[in-house]
Amino acid sequence: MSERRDAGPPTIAAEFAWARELSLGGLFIALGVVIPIAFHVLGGGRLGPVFLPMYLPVLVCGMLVSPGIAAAVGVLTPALSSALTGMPPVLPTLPLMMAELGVMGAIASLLHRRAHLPALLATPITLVVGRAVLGLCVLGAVSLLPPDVLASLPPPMRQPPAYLLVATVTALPGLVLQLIAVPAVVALVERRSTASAAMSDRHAGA
Amino acid sequence: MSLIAIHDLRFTWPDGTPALAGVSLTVEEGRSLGLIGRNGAGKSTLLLHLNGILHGSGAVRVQGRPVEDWPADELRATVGLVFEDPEDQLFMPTVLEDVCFGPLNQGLAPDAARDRALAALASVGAAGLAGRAPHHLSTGQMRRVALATVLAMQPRVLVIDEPVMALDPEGREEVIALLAGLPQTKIIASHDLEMVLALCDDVAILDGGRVHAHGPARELLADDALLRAHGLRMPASPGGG
Amino acid sequence: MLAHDLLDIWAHLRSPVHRLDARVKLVCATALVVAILATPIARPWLLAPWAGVLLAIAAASGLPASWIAKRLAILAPFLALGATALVFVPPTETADAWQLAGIELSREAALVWLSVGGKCLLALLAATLLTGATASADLLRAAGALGVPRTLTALTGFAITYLVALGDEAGRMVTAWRSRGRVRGPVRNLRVAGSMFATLMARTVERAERVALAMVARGYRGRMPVLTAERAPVTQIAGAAAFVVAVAATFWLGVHA
Repeated sequence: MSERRDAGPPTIAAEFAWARELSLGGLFIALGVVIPIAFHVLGGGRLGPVFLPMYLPVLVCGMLVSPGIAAAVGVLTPALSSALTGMPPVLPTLPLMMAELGVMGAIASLLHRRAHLPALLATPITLVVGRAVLGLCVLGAVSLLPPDVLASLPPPMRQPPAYLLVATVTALPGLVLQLIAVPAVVALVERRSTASAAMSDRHAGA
Repeated sequence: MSLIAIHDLRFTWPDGTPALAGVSLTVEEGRSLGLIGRNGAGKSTLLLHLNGILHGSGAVRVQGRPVEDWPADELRATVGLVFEDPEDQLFMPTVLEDVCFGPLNQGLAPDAARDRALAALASVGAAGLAGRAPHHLSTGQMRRVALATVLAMQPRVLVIDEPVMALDPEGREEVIALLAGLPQTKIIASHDLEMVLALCDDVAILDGGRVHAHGPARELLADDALLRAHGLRMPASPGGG
Repeated sequence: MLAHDLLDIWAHLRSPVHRLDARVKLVCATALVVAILATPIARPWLLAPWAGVLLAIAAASGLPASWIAKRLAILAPFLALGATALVFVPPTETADAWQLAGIELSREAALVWLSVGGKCLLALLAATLLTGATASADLLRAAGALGVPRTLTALTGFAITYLVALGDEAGRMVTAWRSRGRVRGPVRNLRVAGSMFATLMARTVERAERVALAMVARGYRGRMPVLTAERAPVTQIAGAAAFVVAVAATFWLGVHA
């Protein structure tokens, strides 16, 4: 049988696994830039805050790579998109999304890859945690603002819970979409991806 | 001693799909072997075994030494693998960085790696592309650069999966001429039999994960009944070579 | 063809801005963006010097004004949304009210809107000029040379290398979806779009695994190799340092004047 006996230097399975983390993470960052553009083309504007198209690749990627890479993908995706396409705007959305998506990527990975929670369960937990992080970040940002500036914000922005409520209600269709789509894609990918399974050391020839 | 000797190689994908069901094959130094067969015959899976990326049961020896006994970096420098889709192989931001990837991994200093890369690019007629981004190249240019990425590692054996897929007739002709001029031992998997006839001394027909025939290209590629039995058709214009 | 105009389309120009070392440009752009973002939110006029510098760079860069404008125009709906929100913020005191076409606006709210909008526009302008006048590969190498962790530059490298290819793939799917005619009803529409993006993601995973195989086949051992770049010319390094100092001084003067 082909069980490999090598100890010490990285096994080919380990090399492949690390290479896959980088290529998968990088390609999904690109998807995180491309999918919102496609949504824009399909929906003709203003669908972004409703469907959260950038969350889709970040969450799926989070379920497929290690927590560190998943967090990096969550942080880099909105940053690269903002630099190249202007969306999300630098203020106030970009820093909020970087924090929210970075944490969500890491949580998705921890729940699915480390704790082996099925994607069907991991997705809603991740979404709830993500919204909580968003709320905390808004709270933090607002507490940093001087009172005169705070008074001049539109009413929902002045109160983080209200902002979070508005943002969540607006994004409800998107959250539902993630809830269905993320586990479906993860299941599809995990069924189809023969290469990564074949590369694992446990697999041996017939 | 054969440069490459495969004995009773078997491999099943983890999802249960059998890919190789006892392949035995030898390749002599300096010869070129065409690996032909229908889609799903196991060609690409077999190629992944030649530089130790996949491990089936049975034996794969390179220069008489089992692949699992080779240090990984030496094996990959000896057997260079060119993948089917050049877009998958050109993953660095510029052509030069991509061609340097292998030599740098081999431990070459950046200057030496750069020299090797430029020489490899020149040898495939792509010297002018060094500073370009891979995604701005034509398919033909991508093929050349993908070949250069492996040539820069100075392998003794070139293992190439479908080298002329998706090329226009002119680009196809250019790549065939380029491959014909390379001195290395070659293993070329394809179902473009005209190209195989033009480039290969020997041919092995793979079907259902087994070698069904192995012999001189001119003989096997003229046997219409044999080819048809394995989902292949005789090349249109015998000649070349 | 969704992402073809995002990268490198003007990298071939030969302007003075293009010729600067990528590290120098990255440092200067970062200094500008930090200054823009740190400018006090209640005093949008302090953004004026940054706007001036960026416009001068834009003029020197030789990048087509229409292309820059198109990039900035993406913020229009966002700015318009902010402007409409202004109507709902009542002026706190009569002295604070601005009259505009018969509508009373809060002066403070209008200033915040100007400030946030201006910061977004200027930051995007800075990013546009930087990515427009620098080849993306040079920018990545510059980021690595300036100490950005290799994992981050490697991830971004894969992203920019495959951005165009994945954009093409997504574009083809959108075209195929449209050529089959729109299905009726938002739910059905969403399902079709959802399965389309699911397929795109599954294919991308397969591609990423083929890329990883190609990396391993060429000797990848867990560390992305980098080609070291030559040193930037001393004059350019000095210039960058002077620029950063000037930005800091201008910022300090503006805030404390």
